[in-house]
Amino acid sequence: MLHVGLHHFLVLGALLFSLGVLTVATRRNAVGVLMGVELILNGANVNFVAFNHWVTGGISGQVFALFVIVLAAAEAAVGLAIVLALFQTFRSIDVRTADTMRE
Amino acid sequence: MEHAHALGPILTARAGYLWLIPLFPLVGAFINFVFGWRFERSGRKRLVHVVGVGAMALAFAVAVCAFLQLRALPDEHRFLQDTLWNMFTAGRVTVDLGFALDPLSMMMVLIITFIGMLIHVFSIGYMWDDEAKAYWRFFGWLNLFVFSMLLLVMGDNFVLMFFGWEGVGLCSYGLISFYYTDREKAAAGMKAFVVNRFGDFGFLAGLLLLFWGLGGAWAASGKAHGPTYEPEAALHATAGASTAAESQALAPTVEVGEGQVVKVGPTLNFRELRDQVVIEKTGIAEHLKDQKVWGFALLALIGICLFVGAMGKSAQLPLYVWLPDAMAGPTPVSALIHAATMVTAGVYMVARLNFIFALSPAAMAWVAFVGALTAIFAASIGFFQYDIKKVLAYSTVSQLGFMFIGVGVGAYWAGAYHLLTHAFFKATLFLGSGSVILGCHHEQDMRKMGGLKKYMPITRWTYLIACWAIAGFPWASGFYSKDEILWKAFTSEHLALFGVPTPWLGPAIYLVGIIAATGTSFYMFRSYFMTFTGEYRGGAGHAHEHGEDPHASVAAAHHADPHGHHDAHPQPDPAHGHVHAAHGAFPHVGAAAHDAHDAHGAHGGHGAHGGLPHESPWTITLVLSVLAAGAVLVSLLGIPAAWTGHEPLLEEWLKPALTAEVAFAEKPHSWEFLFQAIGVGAGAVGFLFAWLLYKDGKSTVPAALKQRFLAAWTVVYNKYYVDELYDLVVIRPSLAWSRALSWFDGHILDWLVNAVGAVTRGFARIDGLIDTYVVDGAVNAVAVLTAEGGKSLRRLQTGRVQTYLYGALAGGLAVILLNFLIH
Repeated sequence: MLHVGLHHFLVLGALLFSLGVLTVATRRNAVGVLMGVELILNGANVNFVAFNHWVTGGISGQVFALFVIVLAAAEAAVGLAIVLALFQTFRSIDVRTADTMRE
Repeated sequence: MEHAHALGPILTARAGYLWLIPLFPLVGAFINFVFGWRFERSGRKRLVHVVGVGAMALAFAVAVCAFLQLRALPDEHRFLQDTLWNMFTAGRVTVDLGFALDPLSMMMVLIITFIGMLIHVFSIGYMWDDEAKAYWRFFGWLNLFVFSMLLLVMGDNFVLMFFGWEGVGLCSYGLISFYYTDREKAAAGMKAFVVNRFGDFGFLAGLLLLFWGLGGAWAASGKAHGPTYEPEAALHATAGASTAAESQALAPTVEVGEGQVVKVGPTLNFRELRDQVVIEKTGIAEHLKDQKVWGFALLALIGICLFVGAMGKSAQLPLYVWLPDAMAGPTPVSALIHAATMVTAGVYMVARLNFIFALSPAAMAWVAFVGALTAIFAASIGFFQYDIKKVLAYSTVSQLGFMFIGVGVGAYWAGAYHLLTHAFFKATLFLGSGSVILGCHHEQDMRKMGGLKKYMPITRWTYLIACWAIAGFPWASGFYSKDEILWKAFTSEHLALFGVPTPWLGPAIYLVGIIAATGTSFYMFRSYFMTFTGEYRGGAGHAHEHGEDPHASVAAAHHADPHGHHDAHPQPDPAHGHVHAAHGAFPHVGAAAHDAHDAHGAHGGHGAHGGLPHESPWTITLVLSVLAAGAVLVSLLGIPAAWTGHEPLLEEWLKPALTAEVAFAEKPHSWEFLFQAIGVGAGAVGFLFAWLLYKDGKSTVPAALKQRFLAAWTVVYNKYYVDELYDLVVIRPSLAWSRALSWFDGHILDWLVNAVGAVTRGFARIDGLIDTYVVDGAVNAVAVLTAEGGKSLRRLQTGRVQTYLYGALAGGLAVILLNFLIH
């Protein structure tokens, strides 16, 4: 019987974080990028909760996780609004088209 | 030198109108120079001489007022001062535009304005028909000449005197070169100017030496200062003064008693100079005596340098050469230069500075020595001249020599008196000769005159009176002044040469002087007899006689053509000019002869008079009569003490100005009578020879004598070849020297300059290359590198968020890796 411990959660958090970074770095679709950001935040959330459970005790880690979730929601709202503005400006949500800051 | 009585500072009286005296001639000159040509062109030629003569008359009137004021003052107060404004202040030295009249300058001002006025009047008649058509220019220059001379004698300081000194030089240039279209006359003017410049240099050198010598701060002895004098304070005092009052306050002073304070130290003011030198208590005289420059006594140097200046202006050996050439100007100019102005400047200056000269027996001996030499030298040249104006010119040089004998031996008043008498009789003679020249249709050669007493009685009598005066016969003025001078020369005990007292010099000078006086009498009466007695020779040709004259008579030979011939070709012919060109660099003989020639050419209409001489217009004869009367009457001012037991009026008058007391031997009056008799005898001998040889022009003895002593005659006739000597000694070497310098300049200096230029250009070219390739290259390289760097770096800036994220990730990774590496 597999004993689930802190390490498993940390590996899961790292995987989520890495996949999130990979998504942010490689997706062309702006919505995809936002989703990658969600993965990163949730990877961090897993770490918060796991450390709270196994290391510190109490509830501060869980409160942090809740904060992050709220923050992620707000971020998603703002992000999606930016994506809409992006689409209105460039008629596309491909992040490569938004390079007018180049020079 | 002992002072019989202690002299105090001069007490001045104010006379606020003195500036008017020089002002009138200046204004006259201004009007004639600016508006004169308009007057003349618009047919109001009369206005020109009204202005000219009017200015002189006004100046004379003011001068007479000043004389009356001066006369009314007591002796020691006879000094009129009129300071207009301060011209400049430098340290303790202030120079004012101020005029001063003491008895000496008063005498000069009266001579200048009175005789100058008469000469102006004479010029009306003489210049009215002049061919130069520049009546206005003539009167303008004449007025300016008088103005300069007045400035010279009236200025209360050396600066004004020097202005006048240079001014008369300038005006003499303008007047001698009056007929400037004639090259020779223009050259004569230039000669006068250049020769005078030589003298002026000496004057300036003497003046600066005197100024330097009066300074005391650097002198070892320190005697020059009173007991309260602090050298350092005086040195520092040079800094502050900017106004005359400040300067006055800073000047070191010495108290000479009864609250009288005398300013000492360098000064340009005559009165300040006189006060500090004359008053023994200031110690300045001792101070000056003690100083030496390179082993020479400073005072002797000052005196000799100042005398060099006097030599130039007053035509002494060896700087006299300009004066005979000054005959190139119109005759009234000659009269003005010779009688009233210019040549008297040197004598005046020596008399004015008598207290300086008296301190140095050596300087005085040189003055007297050169004067005596000039007197006899010029007199001997006068013996054989044929041009009537030339005779008078050399006579002037000779008489000036007498004046310098006077001021040189210390008989300052006698020198000044001779100046006065000479002004009268020489003006008479010159204007008389002008009248003769006019009457003979611009003929100046005495060989073509003769018998004029029939045609020109007034001119003849006045000329005779003036000859009487200059020859030194009693009851005409020349006798009194000349005999006083010679007597003083004989008894002089003051002279010294090279620091050694020379009691023999006075009698030697006397001997030379009495011979010169004999000669004077001879050549003056020769000119009288040749001109006025015998038959009129103007009509016929004398070419055969002139043909015998070697060298210098070339011009005269040309001149000897009959009158009709002259009128046939009024233009000067080329051969004539050529002869002169070969003759030497200075025009001497030619100038005057040429003058007559040209004048006659332009004067063709004159032939209508029938060619006979005629008496001159009334303006001329009136002037002659007044001057001749003056030549007799001024003798009243100098009746010797031996006759009356009372000192001469002029000596008494000049006493406050001529304070220097010079030692003379005391001789009984009987000696004086004897010497006067000798003087009259000398004149009589000269007269007798002239009478025998030249009376009526009949005697053949002169021609025979000439043949017998042709070589000597030629040398003297050609003025001892002094002009040629100048040509050889001064002009050619200076020309050669300037040519050498020009060559040096053209070849060596230009080569150096060009070499420097070439080297510089080479350097510049290299520098240019460095600039183009190294400096510009570096700058451009920096620019290019920056541009290229920017161009390649701009690729990093993609504007895409993900690219930046790669950067951030790479950075994070790098930090992590570093973290591992460091540990």
